[in-house]
Amino acid sequence: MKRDIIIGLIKKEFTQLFRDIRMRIVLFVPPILMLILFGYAINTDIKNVRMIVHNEDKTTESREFIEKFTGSGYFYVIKYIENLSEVDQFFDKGKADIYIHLERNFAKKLKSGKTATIQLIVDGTDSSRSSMILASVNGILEDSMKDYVKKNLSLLVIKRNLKTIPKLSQNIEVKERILFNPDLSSRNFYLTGMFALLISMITILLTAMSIVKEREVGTIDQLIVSPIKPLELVAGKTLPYVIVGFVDIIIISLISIFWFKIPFRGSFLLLLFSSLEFLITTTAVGVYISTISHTQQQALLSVVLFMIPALLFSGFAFPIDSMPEVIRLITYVNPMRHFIEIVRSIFLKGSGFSDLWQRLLYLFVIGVGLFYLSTKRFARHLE
Amino acid sequence: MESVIVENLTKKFANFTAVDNISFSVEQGEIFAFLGPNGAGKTTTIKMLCGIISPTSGKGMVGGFDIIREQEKIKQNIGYMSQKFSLYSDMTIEENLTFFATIYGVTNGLKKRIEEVLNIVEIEEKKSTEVKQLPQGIKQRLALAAAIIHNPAILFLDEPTSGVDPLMRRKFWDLIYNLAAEGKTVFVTTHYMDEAEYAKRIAFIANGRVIGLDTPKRLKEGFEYNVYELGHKDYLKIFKILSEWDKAIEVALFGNKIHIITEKKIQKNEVQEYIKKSNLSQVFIEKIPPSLEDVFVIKVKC
Repeated sequence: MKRDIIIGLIKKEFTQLFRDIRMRIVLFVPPILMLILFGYAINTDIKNVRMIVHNEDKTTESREFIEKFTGSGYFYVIKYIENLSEVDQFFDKGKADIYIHLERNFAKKLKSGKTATIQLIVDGTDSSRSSMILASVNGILEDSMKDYVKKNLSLLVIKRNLKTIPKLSQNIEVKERILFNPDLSSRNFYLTGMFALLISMITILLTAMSIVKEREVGTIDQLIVSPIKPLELVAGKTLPYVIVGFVDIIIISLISIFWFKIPFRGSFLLLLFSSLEFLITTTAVGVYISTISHTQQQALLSVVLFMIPALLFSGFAFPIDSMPEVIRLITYVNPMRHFIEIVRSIFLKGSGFSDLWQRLLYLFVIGVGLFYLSTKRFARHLE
Repeated sequence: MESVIVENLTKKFANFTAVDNISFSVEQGEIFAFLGPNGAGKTTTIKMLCGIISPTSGKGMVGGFDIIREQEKIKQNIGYMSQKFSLYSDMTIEENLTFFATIYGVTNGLKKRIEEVLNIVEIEEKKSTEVKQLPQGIKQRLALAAAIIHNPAILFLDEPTSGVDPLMRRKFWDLIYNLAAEGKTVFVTTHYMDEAEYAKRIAFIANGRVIGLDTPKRLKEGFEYNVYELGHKDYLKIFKILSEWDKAIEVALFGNKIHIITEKKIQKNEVQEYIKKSNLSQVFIEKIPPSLEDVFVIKVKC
């Protein structure tokens, strides 16, 4: 490995990258644009929860209790009812999300230190929405209620699924308070996941394309007859995109933190270090794809075919915990899975090296493995 | 002193023998042409000599290094110009040369060396131009400049003038002469017969074999056939008639002229006799000295 040769290769790569104005834009604008688009558009937060209120207590306290919900900005009352039988028609037509019942003597019980029960019926058709609604209820109860209310309150929660579960089938759930992302902002969750998506997309694509292009145009011939060694060539082809990915990571982080106000509780240095590990895996994948693609089009297609499963099994959107055992094991070799978890932990939990070393180690091992495989294939491919 | 020595070199790809047991040597400072049609094995041979691919059998030395065991050293000591233009079109001449100088380890006096090679190939005034905007002839000279940037003792030029107009080709050959005069060995492949005449020695290659190797002059002197040139306003008809003649070994069109190759014993009047039979008048016939192409064609046929 000669330093001068690698530096020469990197310089050349950047000269080419920045020569083309379109390329300059491609490097940094799409990640930013996608991030902003995602930040605003993809939002699974629970807003506008339609509530039916059955208040048998009719005291100032019980009204205040309801106002805590409506005042949160997430809930609004569509109807006050007097009779439980009215509930069904609302749910059947999908006009309400939640029914809340306050028993007679609700306030009195609470004040005297007895347990008061509120009953909630949630439309369980959309399971993720219903759990989000319940989480919001929980949040409101935890955060806005007076202590004596909290202490003496008992929740009876019924999830009501229109088709499969018979009416009012009872599963009483004890909901935990959701830590780390207390307002359960989906933005915090998705944007931190976007890091892996954007960075891998752009670095895998650029690495693979730049190698395949050299082969397609024939410029690689001139490199093959030169004294460059395969490892130097791989380094010269991946390092520029590691650098690009690094700059992208910094830009994306800054936008997430300062524009979208995603809480950043961890160490920025650790974020950069894990990014470096991740970028080694993505550029190695790029090199590998270049060895199985003859044309830039094939490379593009291969990148897409790689990205889809890598994304699906990364925990970006679908929780890995609910995947079958076998799949869960497979996700361990998916670098995206580890990087997403690392980024989320650093941002939302403030996890440090001692919490994440295992993930970092996985990522490192995957990176070394991929790099070895790709370089070997690449060297063989040069002949 | 020999720059290149090759003995019984063979390269097989699966069932196909691209290079079949060839042997030759090239002197230092010599311009050595490898002449043959496409697919004859020229490029495969060059690739073996440059240390890019290993031979199936046989051995060879380039610049004193073994082509099987010392490929890395060979790469450092040769310059290579590929058939297809293979420098970066989206970079300027200067950027390309800087890049290739760097990867060949030319770090001391890099700027000066670039100026030097730009002067040698006479393209210094274009050095800040992006390569894709340059005409083919300039690109070719740039490729040559890149090949000599590290001052190699041996140059391999694989069809360097393909796609270049005749005037530019001529100029390019002047450059090659200058380099050879400096003592560089130039190994050049081509399928232009006229171009091969510029070389000091020529190896004819067909179907992976060397079928003739000598100076252009001696190759032509050793030619034991007659070549006649025929001209007529209806030259296509003459061509047809001669093609049917059993005494014509080879009939070929050159513009509106026809060349035929016959045995040495066939005299001019015999050709005239044959033409007369078909009632054509005013046919111009002349015996001409053989061209390299004639020599090559007969070598391939026999």
